[in-house]
Amino acid sequence: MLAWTIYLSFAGAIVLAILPKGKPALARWLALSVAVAGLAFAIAGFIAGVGQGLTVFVDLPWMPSMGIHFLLAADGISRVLVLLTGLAAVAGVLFSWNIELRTNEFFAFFLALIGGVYGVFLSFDLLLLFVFYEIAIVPKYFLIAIWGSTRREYAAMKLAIYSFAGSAMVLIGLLAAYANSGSHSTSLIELGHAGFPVGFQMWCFPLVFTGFAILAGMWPFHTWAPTGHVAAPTAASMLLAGVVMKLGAYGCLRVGIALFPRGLDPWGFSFIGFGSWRDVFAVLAVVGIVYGALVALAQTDFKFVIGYSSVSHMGFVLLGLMTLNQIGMTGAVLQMFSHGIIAGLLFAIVGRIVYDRTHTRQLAELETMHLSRRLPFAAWAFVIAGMASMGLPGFSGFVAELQVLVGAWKVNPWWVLAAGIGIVVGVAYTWRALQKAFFGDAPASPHMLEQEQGHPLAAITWPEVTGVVLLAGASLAVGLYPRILLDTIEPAVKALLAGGVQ
Amino acid sequence: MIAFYEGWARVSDWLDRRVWGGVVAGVAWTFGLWAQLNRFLDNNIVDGSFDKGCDELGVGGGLLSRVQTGRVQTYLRLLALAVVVLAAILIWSSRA
Repeated sequence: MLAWTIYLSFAGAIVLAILPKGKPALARWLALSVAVAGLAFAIAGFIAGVGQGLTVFVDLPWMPSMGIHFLLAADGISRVLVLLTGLAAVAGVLFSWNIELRTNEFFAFFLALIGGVYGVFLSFDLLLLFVFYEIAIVPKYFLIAIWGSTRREYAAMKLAIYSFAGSAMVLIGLLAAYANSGSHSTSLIELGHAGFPVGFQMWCFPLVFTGFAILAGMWPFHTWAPTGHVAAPTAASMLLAGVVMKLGAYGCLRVGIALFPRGLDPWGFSFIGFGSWRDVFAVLAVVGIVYGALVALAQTDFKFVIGYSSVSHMGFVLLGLMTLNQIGMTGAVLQMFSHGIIAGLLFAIVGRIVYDRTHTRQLAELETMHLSRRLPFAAWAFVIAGMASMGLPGFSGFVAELQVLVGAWKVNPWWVLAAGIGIVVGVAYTWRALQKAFFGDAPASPHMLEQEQGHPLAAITWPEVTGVVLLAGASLAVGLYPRILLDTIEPAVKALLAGGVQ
Repeated sequence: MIAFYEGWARVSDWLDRRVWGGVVAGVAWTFGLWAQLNRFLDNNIVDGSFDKGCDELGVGGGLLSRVQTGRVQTYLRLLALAVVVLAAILIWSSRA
């Protein structure tokens, strides 16, 4: 059932690419239908998978001479991330309802990207996973370069360079794993039992982990993220922060940690205080949490605030992965879902609801516009999204970050104390942005007053309301009753920790 | 008695405004400064080194493209240079 999410998305992309030009309404409704159908399959697959372990649903020989299969399967982690992708896809289409420039092509690239993301989360063959991973990179480039804004060519190229550099590192690791396994198979299930030599895992793990972590926005390889998010059109920003960064984190977990767990063993010596790759990546994650939050605090562009906040929040995912314990890793997967929803909502508010009406993202200018009075829905939506982003109780971020921090405390309390600074700064940058963008009391300029009286901002549309309700509702639902996802994630993490992906 | 408590109230008010409020303002100011410093580092060091690296790569590619003139003499000169370098390496390694 879940395989249909991939087939539908690519079929939709092809149909949209060949659809006659000049029918934007048709393209929009078609894209929405495909996205909703994908979400329906994702929900059905999620419900059907409750209480089940790893389920293989497609296994076809693809390149038999090399033992490569078209192998699609899902465990609890995959199901949750497929659900996230479905939600992000529907919300992305809704917040792109106003796209007029080459509408067919926009939605064709959008659905191709979604198809690639579904593919990565459902592939249990190493090469197939890599192919879908690469497929997801290409549409990102075009979405930013054609429909983007601020320095779009620069941002698109930067994103492509970082992504392909990461992919090259991953590919080397995958080829080495295939050659060393001796199993003549690229199945993740079989390679999970290959038992690679410790020395091999020691160099292959950091290579593959770093390659994937680049896409997860790990410090100091994060700089593609803020510029990419800012330059991208709203839907692409939502997908970049919402699901594409999760591809990286998922790769770190599914390939890096699952295949090369001994790569995290102690080195047997200490190098400037680091005794293993686990220490190195955990510290990089904590630096990302604090650094991303601090840089977000210093931004003057509203979208950059959200862009850097993504770097900070993704640091929690990487920290959770490095705990290597049940609670921390479960928190990391939940944080992937939570951040995907919240970042999507924040980018939608900033990029679609605010920027498309005010034509500015500068906080100093927004401060003079009194948006809480002129766009009360946007102000309320940002208050809710901001509370979710800060990790207040009742929202998904609270449960996820709490689990990551508890897991990290068991390993090294200093990581938690340092990450705590990031949480406090996170509250500061969110409130600062909220205050300046919506509740600013700076006097309006004569031009602004004239605009306020003569040209009221466009009314909120039904796709915007639907999108906000969908994403905010998802974060609240998980925050209030986290077992919806935890019951699915926990067994999968337990199985992964027990050794191998089965 | 009233004067005593009034005095204490004034001291407490002063402490609250100047000391505890000052500590909070100081911490906020320090974090603000730290945030600005991080933004500077991000723009000029972390991101700047990426941009610089790409620029250098572009310059390197430009230099290499200059060599590809299509003139046979240029290629022959490069070949001759390569032969000299290889011969030098061979002589040096045989001595060692």
